[in-house]
Amino acid sequence: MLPPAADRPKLQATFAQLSAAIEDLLLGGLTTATDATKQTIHNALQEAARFRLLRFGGTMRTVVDDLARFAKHDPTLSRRRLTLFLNRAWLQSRGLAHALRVGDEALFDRLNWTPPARPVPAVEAVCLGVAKKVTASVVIFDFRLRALAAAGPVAAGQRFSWSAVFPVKPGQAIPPEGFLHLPQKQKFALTALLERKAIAVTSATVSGEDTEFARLSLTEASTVTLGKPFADWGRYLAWSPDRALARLETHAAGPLDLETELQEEVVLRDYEIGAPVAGEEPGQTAYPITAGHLSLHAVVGAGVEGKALKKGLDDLRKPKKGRPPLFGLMHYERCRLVFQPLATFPASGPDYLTISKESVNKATLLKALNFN
Amino acid sequence: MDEIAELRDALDRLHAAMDDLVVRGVRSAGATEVAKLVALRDEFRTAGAEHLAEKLGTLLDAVKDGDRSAAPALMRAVTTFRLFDRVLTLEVAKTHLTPPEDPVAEE
Repeated sequence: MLPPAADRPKLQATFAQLSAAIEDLLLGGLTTATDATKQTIHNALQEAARFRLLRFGGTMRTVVDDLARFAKHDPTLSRRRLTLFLNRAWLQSRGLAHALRVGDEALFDRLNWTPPARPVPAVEAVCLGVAKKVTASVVIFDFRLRALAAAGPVAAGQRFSWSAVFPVKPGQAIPPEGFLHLPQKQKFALTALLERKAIAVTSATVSGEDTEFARLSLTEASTVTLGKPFADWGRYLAWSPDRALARLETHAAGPLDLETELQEEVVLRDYEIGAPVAGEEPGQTAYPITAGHLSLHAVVGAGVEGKALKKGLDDLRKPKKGRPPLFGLMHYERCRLVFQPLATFPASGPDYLTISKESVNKATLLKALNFN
Repeated sequence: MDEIAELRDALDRLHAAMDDLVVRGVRSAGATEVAKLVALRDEFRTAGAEHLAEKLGTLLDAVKDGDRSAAPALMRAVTTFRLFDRVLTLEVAKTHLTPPEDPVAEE
């Protein structure tokens, strides 16, 4: 839906100023970014929040983050990602400005597309794995869940994910797993999701176009409580490439695609993990994994983000009888099948590879967060 | 090197050249950068990626002229090569995921 007519000229001017600011940066190089350029980019981010332009706002947050990393000579900055997101910001700002100028509501909605949310009164799920992302300014945990039974718009066995995002203040030195212990508004700690028990969620919403995958969102009224220990993990560990192939057949690539938007949950059996090599981005490690006819490129993040996963994969490489099923996410990048391992499934239930097993000192954690 | 591997290699070199231009700015592009882009444009033209070669040609003209239009031309070239890369990647992914045919069943 187009914004109110009275707001359109200002929003249109914001988009035009942003695309011009990006072009200025591209002419002189990133070291020439003036205060005015930075202010234009920040204004665009604020307007995105004010008008709930979530897709554009996500792009702008990454641009702001990466430009700050560039200014600080952060060695973990990915130049490729910076190019990608500057390009997305330029494309989106020009497209949105055009849609406003000509009053093209369909184009505006397509560029700013966010899937509609549907209420879920109650659903019971289990957690198969957790993706962890750590940057200088944020820690994100993405829990990959399966519905134990049909519930409203959620089908039995449906895949869905819930993300928790924690901003990191400058100088705040706590391990990422520390955030798992913090009480949420809904009066639970994220560690509860990793107890291999059924998780009962009420008053939530799900969104997504895919009939087999949705994103879960909690509201302030939501509750999250633990049920009985879950043991029947085997029912979620069957996988073949057929579904991935079917999705590839119907997928139409577009200029705003992000590689990880077309992602599959995968379970590998009878796999071999090769020797690690340096990844393409600073600090990353890559492991070749083969399973049947599949050759995958597993990527482990830099520093504290990938420390636990690297240890887990190094342990799995050791010769042993019958490695446990390996669950993770697969996407397609640079003509490769890129794999993000998340958990193994020995007989005792999931071993969450991305989560450090080192204990977190809660007193130190609270002190670091200035809660006491 | 097979055709896909050659294209992949050219795309990686183009990624690196574009990332350099984004970080350092198109006005800093000298003879070396221009020569790299010319070689890549010709390589993609030979491979049949005429649309991408055309965008690189427009970028080259604007860079050589020191024109302000070099910035939007860079963004258009990035958009085109990313889409080209994506389409190629998804096609290759299909072949990676498809199980090899069983030679016994074939007989």
